[in-house]
Amino acid sequence: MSEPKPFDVTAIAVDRYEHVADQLDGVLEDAAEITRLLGELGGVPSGNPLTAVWDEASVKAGLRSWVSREAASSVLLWLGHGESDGDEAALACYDSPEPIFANGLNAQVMASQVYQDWVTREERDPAWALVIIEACGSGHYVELVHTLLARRAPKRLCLIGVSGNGASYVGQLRQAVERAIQRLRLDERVTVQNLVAELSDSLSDLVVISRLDRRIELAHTPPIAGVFSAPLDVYTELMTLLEAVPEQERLFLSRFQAAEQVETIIHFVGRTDESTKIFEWLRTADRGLLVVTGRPGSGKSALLGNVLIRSSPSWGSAQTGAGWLSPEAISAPGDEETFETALHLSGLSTAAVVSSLAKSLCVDLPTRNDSWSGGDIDLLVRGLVGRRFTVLVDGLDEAIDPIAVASTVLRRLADLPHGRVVVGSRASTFDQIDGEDPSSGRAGCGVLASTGTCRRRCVRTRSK
Amino acid sequence: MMIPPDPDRTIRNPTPPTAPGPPRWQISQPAPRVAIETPPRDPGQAKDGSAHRLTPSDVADLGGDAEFAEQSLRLHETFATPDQSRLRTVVGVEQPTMQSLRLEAGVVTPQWHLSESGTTLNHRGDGTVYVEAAQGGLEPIASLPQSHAGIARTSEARAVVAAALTRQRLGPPMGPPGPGIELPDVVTAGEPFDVNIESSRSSPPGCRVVNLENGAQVARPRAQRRDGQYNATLCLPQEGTYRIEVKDGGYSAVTGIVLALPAGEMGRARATG
Repeated sequence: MSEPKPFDVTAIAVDRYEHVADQLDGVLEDAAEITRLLGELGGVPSGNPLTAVWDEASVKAGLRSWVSREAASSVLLWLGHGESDGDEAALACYDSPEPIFANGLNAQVMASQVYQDWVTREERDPAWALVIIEACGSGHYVELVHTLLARRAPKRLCLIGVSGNGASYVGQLRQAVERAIQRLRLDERVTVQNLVAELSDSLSDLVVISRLDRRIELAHTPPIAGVFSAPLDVYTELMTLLEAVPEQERLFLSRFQAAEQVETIIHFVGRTDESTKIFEWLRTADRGLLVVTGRPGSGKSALLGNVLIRSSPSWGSAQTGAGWLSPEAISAPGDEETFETALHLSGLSTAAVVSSLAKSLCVDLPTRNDSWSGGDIDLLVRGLVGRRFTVLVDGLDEAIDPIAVASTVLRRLADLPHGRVVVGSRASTFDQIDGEDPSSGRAGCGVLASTGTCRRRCVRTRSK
Repeated sequence: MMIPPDPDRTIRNPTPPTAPGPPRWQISQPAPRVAIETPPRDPGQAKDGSAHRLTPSDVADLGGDAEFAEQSLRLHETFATPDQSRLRTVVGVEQPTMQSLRLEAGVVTPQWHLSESGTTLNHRGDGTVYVEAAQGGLEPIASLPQSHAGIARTSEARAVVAAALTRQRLGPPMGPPGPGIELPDVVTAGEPFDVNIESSRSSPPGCRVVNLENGAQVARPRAQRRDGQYNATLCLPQEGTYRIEVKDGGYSAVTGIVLALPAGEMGRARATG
């Protein structure tokens, strides 16, 4: 699949009419907002002025301009009056006399321009076009357009009429697009089909005529890196949370990946003693290593994830606003983020750990092809000398070489004058759920021993 | 208005359906706040001064069951005091609607207005329930130009209900109001009858007749302007139930159901009435 490219958004919003009694206040704002929302999926507004007087000549010029646009793919939006008498249907321009269905912009004109658009798109695979019409009788209108286009069979095209054969309401499409974008925002990938499906969910009388013959991906950067497993209700809560947090801080949620289950991080209950110890250490320690350890499945990752979001002022206030946390539960000192970065070490080589930490802590390293170099850790340490930083790493026991990571990376960072490292790990890589008590046997020669004798504090999550 | 005949709960207008004058209706369960207007006994008395709410004794005087009438009125009293915090109303408008009735010499004549405080007001409605009664004392979340039978199946009603459930605020409708239609409940198959269409538009509305048994379109009559209003002459080909659709403006077609009976049965229906 080729890299998605930005697409054009051309909006024709007719709010003033010479012959129709009801002027349409609000459609200009709707068009602007829909255009802005589509920007999140790669939409770029066309040069058409939204406030133009859209008489029939201007509309036709606007449609020609849409066809000859630079961007290969496009969304064409129409918002305004329309009318159908059950047979004919048309869209009202500023100067369309009554009755609109007989004198407005008829389906033939629209079909001709949509076909011309296909002629220019055909060779520009995978260029696509989405025509969305919000007007009374718009469902019937797009059916007529489709009928006229049927013989010519344009592809990668989707025609949408918002309101079937009945009346539409100002704001209906904008609200549906808002909901669609809100739901799609956290998806890792978004396609044109996803967008259309979301609109269909919101608009019960939507008429969709799709000639999209394949999945067409949109340029979409999810606010959170990676994929999360969470029930739908938690997913919705996350989106609510995201909206309450400044955009530049949304990336902080990626740190949730330091723990495995988003739900248990947000709706965390218990472990009061352990979290108190952790926050006490964060409040008082100037440097050193804090190890959170326990049996497999005892909740280390959930505890650390909860500590992570409770220690962030921005996420804390968002959660307080959403009613998920009491203000007392927010433990972030001042306005600064406690953790500079958080990293889950599962499956990472030592080189990858060093590289990831260097990148997130803004320390430049020479580019290498995943090969280990002892010099890299020296560079990382040198880059952090004199800096005050706190790092959270989870899943140490799941790294490819946990002992090397612990002894050559984490230990050295924690030895720096103002370096603090919080580590989540099983005591031994041999630990298994319901397995032997790690306090006996070979656990002693496991991961934790390799952190050495630096300033180390240990918090143990005991199985309940 | 399309109310199927219900011999147990109807008050029939004894005037033969073929008589000239305003349309004659079978009246089913009284709409809330149906008023009754009696003719003035004293020529000097204001006509509208004698209007009062329908009582069980009025119903009994007409040959109805006073007990049933009392039960019905009690039920409507309950409807008249809704829990306003939980009620949202979608109201049909623009349709000619009976709002009161006139009793004269034991004859019921539907009135298409209310007489209140010396003023005659035509609230109109959905053809069955007039606007004031349908609102339930609340500002409706939507007023749709639609008939009582058709309102719940329109896309507009679905949109406003969805918006209410999801607590969204819809903007104004993007189309002009639709027409008002008047058509009989029961007609004789094969005999022409008129559908009156009230519309302020300069162009005639579109009409369609659909056989409800198989969904087939059976006619597309052309509406013509006569005496300031549009009128379409229809002829239903055979007995059955038909939906008449009239489309004008941006809203869904206004619909009404008509029962077509064979000529003989129509006569029997009149005789029993």
